Amino acid sequence: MLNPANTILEMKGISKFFDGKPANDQIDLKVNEGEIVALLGENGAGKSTLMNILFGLYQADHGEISIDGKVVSINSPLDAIALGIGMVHQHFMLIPAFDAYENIALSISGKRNGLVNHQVIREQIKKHSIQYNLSIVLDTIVQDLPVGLQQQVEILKALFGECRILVLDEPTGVLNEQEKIKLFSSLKELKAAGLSIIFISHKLDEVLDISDRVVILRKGKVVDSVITNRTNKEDLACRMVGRDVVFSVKKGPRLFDNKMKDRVLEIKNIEVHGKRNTQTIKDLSLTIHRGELFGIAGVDGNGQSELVEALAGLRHVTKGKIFLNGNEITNRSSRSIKQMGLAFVPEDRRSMGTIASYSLDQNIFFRNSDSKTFRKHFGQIDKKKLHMLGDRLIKDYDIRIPHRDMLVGQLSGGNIQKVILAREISSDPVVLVAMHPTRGLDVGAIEFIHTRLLELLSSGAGILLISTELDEIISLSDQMAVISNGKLSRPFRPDELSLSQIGLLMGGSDEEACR
Amino acid sequence: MKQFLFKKRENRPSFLDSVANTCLAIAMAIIVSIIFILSLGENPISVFEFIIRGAFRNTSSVLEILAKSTPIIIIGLGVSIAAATGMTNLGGDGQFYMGAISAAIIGIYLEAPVWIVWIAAICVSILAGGIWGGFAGFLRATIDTSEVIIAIMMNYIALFLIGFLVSNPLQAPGGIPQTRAIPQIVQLPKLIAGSRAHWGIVFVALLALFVWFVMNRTVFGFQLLTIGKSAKAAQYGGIAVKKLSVTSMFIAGGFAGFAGMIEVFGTYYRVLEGISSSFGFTAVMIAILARYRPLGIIVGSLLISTLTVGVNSMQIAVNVPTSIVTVIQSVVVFSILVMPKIRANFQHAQRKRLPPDEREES
Amino acid sequence: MSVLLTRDFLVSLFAAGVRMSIPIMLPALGEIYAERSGILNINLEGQMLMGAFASFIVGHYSGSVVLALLAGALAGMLQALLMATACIQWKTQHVVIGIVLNMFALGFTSFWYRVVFGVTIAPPMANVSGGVSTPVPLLSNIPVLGEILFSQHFLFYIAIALVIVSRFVFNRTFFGLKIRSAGEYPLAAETMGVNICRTRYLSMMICGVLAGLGGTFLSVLSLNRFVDNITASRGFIALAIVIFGRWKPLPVFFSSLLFGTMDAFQLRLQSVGLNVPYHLLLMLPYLLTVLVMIMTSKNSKSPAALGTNYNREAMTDT
Repeated sequence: MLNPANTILEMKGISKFFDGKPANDQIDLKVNEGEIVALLGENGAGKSTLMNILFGLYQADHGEISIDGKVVSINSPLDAIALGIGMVHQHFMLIPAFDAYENIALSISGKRNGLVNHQVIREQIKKHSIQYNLSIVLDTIVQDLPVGLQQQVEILKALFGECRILVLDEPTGVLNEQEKIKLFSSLKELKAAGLSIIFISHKLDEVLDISDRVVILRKGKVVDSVITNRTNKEDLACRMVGRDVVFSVKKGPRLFDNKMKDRVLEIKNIEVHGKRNTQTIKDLSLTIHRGELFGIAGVDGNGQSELVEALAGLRHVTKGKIFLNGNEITNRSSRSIKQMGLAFVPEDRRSMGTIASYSLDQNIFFRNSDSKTFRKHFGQIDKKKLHMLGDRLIKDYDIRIPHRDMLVGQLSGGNIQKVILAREISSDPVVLVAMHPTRGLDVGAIEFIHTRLLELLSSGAGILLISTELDEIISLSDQMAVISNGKLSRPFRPDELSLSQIGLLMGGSDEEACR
Repeated sequence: MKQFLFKKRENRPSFLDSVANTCLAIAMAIIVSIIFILSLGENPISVFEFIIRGAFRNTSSVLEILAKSTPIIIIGLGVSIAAATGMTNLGGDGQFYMGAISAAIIGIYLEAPVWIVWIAAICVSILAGGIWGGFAGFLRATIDTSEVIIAIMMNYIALFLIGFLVSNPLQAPGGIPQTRAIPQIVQLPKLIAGSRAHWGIVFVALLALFVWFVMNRTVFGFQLLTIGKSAKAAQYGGIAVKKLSVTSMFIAGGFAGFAGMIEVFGTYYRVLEGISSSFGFTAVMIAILARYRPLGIIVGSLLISTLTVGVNSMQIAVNVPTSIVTVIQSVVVFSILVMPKIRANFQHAQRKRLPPDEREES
Repeated sequence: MSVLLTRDFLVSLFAAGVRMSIPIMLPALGEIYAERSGILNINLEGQMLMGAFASFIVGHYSGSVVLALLAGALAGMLQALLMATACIQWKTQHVVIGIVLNMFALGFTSFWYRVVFGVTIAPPMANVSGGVSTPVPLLSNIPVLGEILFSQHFLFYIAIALVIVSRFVFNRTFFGLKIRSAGEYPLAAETMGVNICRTRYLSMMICGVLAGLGGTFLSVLSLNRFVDNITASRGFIALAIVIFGRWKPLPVFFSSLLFGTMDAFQLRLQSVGLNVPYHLLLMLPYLLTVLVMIMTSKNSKSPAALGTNYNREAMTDT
């Protein structure tokens, strides 16, 4: 029988720096045979970095990894697979244009280049999927599968590599409740079969539910390691966060009388096609009034990007109408929508919200290049005026920039986000659409951004906030709704429904289930 | 804040760096040409001496350099504008042909005061070249077709179209496939009588200044550059990405067409088959070499033309084929493209060997 | 027009079409490998040119078809390796470096041709005995079809074999899966154990060999001579054909035949002496390429990672 104290993996003193900042700082981690270890930590605590090092996607700057007591060097995923390490990635590592069968066949190719033996592989897939209770649809192109099924392919793929250590990076982020239950039962069976599992998560309930031991990371360091059944949720939360309050900025209680207020943004029954015509927004409506913050919660990839792109004039609306301040903006150019007063903080702050190789001034200007304010004779750019605006925004928004010629791509995420927010708010918008404005930022920056959003509200603008952080939505919104599979739930006040009811909506359950 | 004042440009490729890269690239080209010349059984030193002497042997050879570089600079300036939006204008030759033939038609058939002929010829040649280039740009912007392949096909179409025109409807009497000459009065005056260099070179200097101004000072130039940096961000920024991308290719084509007009009015006075000796390709190479900067394009074109004139005159003395210019040119550009990456790889490998604390500093 | 519709005319037209398609077909088949693995090999033209030149030199001095073919394949492959190194190792932009290397091949071949043969009045011949067709026993006796398809040059039979083999490679082998995955989503492919570098290098080498063979056919087997820029942008036509054929061997095979036939057609028209200026006929293949590009590009589905360099840490860094 298995000896539970038999250490299979040991990572010692792992450090990894990005641009001189430590993402992992002297991390030690031990995993025993047949054990489920949870890596718990907030966004940016260094969990994924550590696992990407284990899987050979990153090279550690420092430290060593040993398997079965022998020091190994892992320079690429090839090495990791050969050592029996399998990984289920947060963003699935599947070839979208292949079907599930081809994906699995590819994953077992190893050094072989010859004939693919269809029959043998198909039988093996069948055997494995029955053994571990996985449901696999073989002949559909992966990009057409629902995420839950894609994940099953991802897991089966990892198992096929005859792995002994299975790493799962935030596996439940994209799953609904039923899919999650199924995943957990599969994991328990794998454990029983002797696999060691490393489970990365920032969700406390899941960690308590599935793991034998919890290793807690904070700011790139291991802060604690506890046996799961000797701890509880509050204890873990405290250790993970290292402070008491997550969101200190709260919207004060306000009374709403919708009839008194102007509607600044009105979306009426719109329909939007997504990339490759897959995810679509179906019959979506919402209304935002002056001084109101409308929050949309939901799991990533349920139509949020398509919705905001349609609002900003970057994606075609096939049906329905959008009104800004009473004027129709459906399918107008992004330039005229902007001029009519819709400001937009896009989700991708580095490749869309800013241009990395431009200076701060240029980054302010590229979103205003048509405005007459910064234009001199002969179509020249009024660099002086631009510089003055830059100075003002740097001061007002506390943007930490060492010198004015520095390229924005070299700033930290928080400062980049401040640049975007400063630029968008400085245009005096009627409505601000902000998507994931605080994702991956540190607490200080989050608080700052929240404060600014609330200030903007009090000046009379409306805000549409889209985020996957439920806490953020609940603490800031006047009205909120949940988006799931391209459909928006009925709007409600944050205190109207319980957390579990909202969770059910996010998992795609219909409204009646929440009543 | 003050402590940062002194390392203002720390994060951009420094001037020294680009000088080092250029020097390495030139060194590479020299090494390759030495190998080539040695394998011919010639003495590299004396060949180089011949080249330099040949290029600067007298006033007319120096003016010849100017004449040769004129069309290349104009096309190269156009290439740099297309490159701003991420387009590669390999269609310079076809656009040049179209500009040349339409300018020639104006020159031959329009009976009007000189100034009007000139202005009409300029407008028509820009339009003809612009349409030729804009078509490739339009297809790229609307249906995402490779503008490189289209432009090259358009080169051949223009080539054969010219071939047809100069040997059929527009052929001058005498049986040679060429058009009639434009009247002497509309020909551009020579810089010095008897040489090939003409006043077109003055246009070139003004044009380069103009391109520099547009790309560095104006909103229009900024918008073009933004598209090239990130089309996604530019669209978010409210810039008309498709329209401006097509415009940039239209301008590039217009420049090449204008170069055709200048060559017809300044050098050949007529259109004949083979009037362009792959100016378009040379211009692209030089524009890459100059990293799309106007001054660099002028200097690069002058250097390559010097080399061509030198090698041409040397050929009489020593047996080194003129195609060595093409080889040298491509080796230099190849090295310029590859050298920074090789050096970065090398530096990266070195840095990896340092312990982490020291690495942060470097 | 009646002269165009006789049986003899049509048979000889299509037979010539097949023959003229060979130097586009082979490079286009090779380009499928390169592009499916993610490399936009604009340098195809240069690889053909190098192959045409090297095989001519070897053919001229040895008189052996086999040696000439080997030399052509090798030269094409070496040029492809240079392109591959620049893209994979040094991560340069594929289009730009491809253009530069085309220029290099043009200068290189033209330079050495003059060095070896000097300026001569009578151009030197390859004088290799492989230029004729080899009829397939039995099959070539089939009327019409046999004359068109089975009385061809042996490189055509090789091309047919390559089409079948390539289909098989892409659909039924691990190697094919690896190539396609490298061109679709290299990061995911690497997590599944695919060595992206090696796969891309191998694909480029296959492409270089086929491009070199295409060049060999032009210089040694077809023209019996070498001239500057002998390929005349056939490499770019092949690039267009790969798009037209949606990166699949069989459609690429048929599109090459279409282009070859078009080429043969315009040559026939010239010789028939119809009153069409020959310049306009020469234009036809290039015009057809433009038309084909306009028709296909809207619904064509290129490999998702085509033309992008793979940089592991940059891609995982979100």
